[in-house]
Amino acid sequence: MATEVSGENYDGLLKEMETLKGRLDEERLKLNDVALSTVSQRLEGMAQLSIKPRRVLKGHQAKVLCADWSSDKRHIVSSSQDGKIIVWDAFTTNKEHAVTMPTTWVMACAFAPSGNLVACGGLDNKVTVYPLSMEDDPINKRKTVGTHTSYMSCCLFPNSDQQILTGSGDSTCALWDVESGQLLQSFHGHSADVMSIDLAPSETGNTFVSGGCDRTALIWDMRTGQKVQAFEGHDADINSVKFYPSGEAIATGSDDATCRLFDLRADREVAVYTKESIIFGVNAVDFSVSGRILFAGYNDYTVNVWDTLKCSRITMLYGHENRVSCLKVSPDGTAICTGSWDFTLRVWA
Amino acid sequence: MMSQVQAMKKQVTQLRQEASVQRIPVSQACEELIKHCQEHQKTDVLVTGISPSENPFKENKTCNLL
Repeated sequence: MATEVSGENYDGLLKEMETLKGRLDEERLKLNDVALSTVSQRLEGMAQLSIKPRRVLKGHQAKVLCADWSSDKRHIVSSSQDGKIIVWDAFTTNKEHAVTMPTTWVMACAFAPSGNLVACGGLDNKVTVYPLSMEDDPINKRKTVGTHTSYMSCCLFPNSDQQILTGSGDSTCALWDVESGQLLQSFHGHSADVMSIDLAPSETGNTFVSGGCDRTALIWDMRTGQKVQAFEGHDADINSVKFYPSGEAIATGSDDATCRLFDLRADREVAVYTKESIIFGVNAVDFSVSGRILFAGYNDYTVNVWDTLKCSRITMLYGHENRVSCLKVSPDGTAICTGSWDFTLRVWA
Repeated sequence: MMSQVQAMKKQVTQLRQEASVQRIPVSQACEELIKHCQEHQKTDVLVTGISPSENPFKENKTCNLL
């Protein structure tokens, strides 16, 4: 653990900061002995993928901004610029619930692990939960759990229905108690809007990653509120962050038209997913269950399918007629759901 | 000025902690990423493909026989 800084001298501190930054860069460079694409040369390429468009979910009257799968691998919740959240049966394309929020631009939505609750929010700066029941209109049972000082850009339930983790335009993340609405922990460290968060895929789940408009991805200890690691490298806003399934790395998608892979134990970037022909920003990234495929949704209406290890593009998914704003692999890894500014969601499998 | 020094101290503490992290070489990190994929790729249906009978998103074929 780091020792407390005792000096009071501004110039002394500035000098130490520069020295430490230099040492960090040096250490990270020293261990950069080989590229991932070189190590993975011995691997076979993937056989032709059979992923096809299977469902189109129509019902939103404006841009789809966020989507999340239920743990039952069948239902999807989506939120839109039209102020609505819709719960879909992805097998039948039926809408099972539709809730109109008191705000437009519902930028974030998430299913609780039980599947009985959804959380959402956006330009209202709030995270609100709606219990889903067939008997009652969800709107009568809605509950505001937390409030940021700027828009809420992303939210998720870490491990149980009892807590919600949020990211915000106020450049913080926050952990809330659903029942009491109490702020359990806040996370200060970003210097600009937080755009995306993801939970580490471990049993204990005490680590999460956040990415944002300061072009930085930060790893946090949820219990202490401490920033554990910081990853830089992108030349523009990070819009999406996602843990590699082993928890050993994170993928990022950015407005600089690249996706990147940062390894936690090497403490540095280990791969960049880019092509000269790709010039539009990335809004969403997710992995297939093994981690071999990295899906990325772009502003040029396409989904690029990358071989995570060989760092090459395998194929593209065409269908959306506007920006792909969100993208999620289903919990069992059998399908992916994409949401777009073309007002639709699509399921590919 | 005081708050500036305070903020600076916080940053230095953070950097000291980040600098003290134990790192592994990229080659080793890559091997472990590859190992994870190899162990799980067989059950990754988006990679291997899924038999139509097991795919809940397969189109329901309409029967044309009368």
